Amino acid sequence: MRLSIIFLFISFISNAQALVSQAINANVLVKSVMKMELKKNNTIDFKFDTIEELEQGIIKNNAFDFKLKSNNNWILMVSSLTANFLPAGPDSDGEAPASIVSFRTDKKTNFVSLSQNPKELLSGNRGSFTQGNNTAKLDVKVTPGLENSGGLYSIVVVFTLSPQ
Amino acid sequence: MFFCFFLFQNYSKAQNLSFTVQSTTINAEYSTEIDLESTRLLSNAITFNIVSPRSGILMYARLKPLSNQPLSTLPQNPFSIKVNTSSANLGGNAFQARPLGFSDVLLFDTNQRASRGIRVTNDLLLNPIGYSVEPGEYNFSILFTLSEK
Repeated sequence: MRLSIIFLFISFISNAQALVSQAINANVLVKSVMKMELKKNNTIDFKFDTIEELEQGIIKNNAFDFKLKSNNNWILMVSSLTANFLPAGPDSDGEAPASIVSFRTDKKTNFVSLSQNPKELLSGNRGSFTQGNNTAKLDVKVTPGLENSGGLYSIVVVFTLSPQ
Repeated sequence: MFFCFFLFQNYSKAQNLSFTVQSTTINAEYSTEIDLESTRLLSNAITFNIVSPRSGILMYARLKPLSNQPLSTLPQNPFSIKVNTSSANLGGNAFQARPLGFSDVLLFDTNQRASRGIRVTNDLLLNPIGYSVEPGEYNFSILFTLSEK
């Protein structure tokens, strides 16, 4: 009886599988990568011919297609380069404020009025184009009212994308 | 006398199965859209020199994080490995790329005797990790394990 127990023990050891391991180091450095595409779908010139248009404003839906790829959570801000519109025609001497322009996205219902101080238009999470808010359409509304002189005016709009 | 034979056999096997890994530290940088979205090849990045007294070996590899971050926050399969050249006939799909995860994957096997050494060179592929990984530095070991069949 004693002999057979010893035999089993030795057999077990002899069938143990030999293993050896080696390791190397592998480092992954991921830097911040953000890519924004903003495509203008059509002309965004606004022409106001009637009192109603001046008072109620004109909306251009889907004026821009916005697409973003980012490995950061992000925020999209909008601002104007100047506080007021700049005259762009010979008989244009008014100073319409930037705030007569406003933007909204198809992700939100409220318009955001333009100013020199950047305002949040949209935010989202890291991901490619298909992630959440990373693809959106932008509507533009301009409401000059009756206080501003007629003429041809222009303004530069700045979209700023930042990591959160 | 019979028992002594078994003991000797086991001792011999454990002493002689060995391999070395020739490689520099792997540094994979993802700093552009192309880096995040496409595969990059580091040709012959890793070389094994294997010695085994018996026929039949298997080589496994896995990724081992060197930090305490949750696995779900790490790049999941940043590397793949595939054999480029071998001095022995390798079985399976050794020449196809295998993504490395956090558990062992079989890189290759052979039934050929390796007592005089087998040399296997491997390409390392830096896989596209996409946009779901937060920017930062992630440190791993690639752990290779050689086993007799």
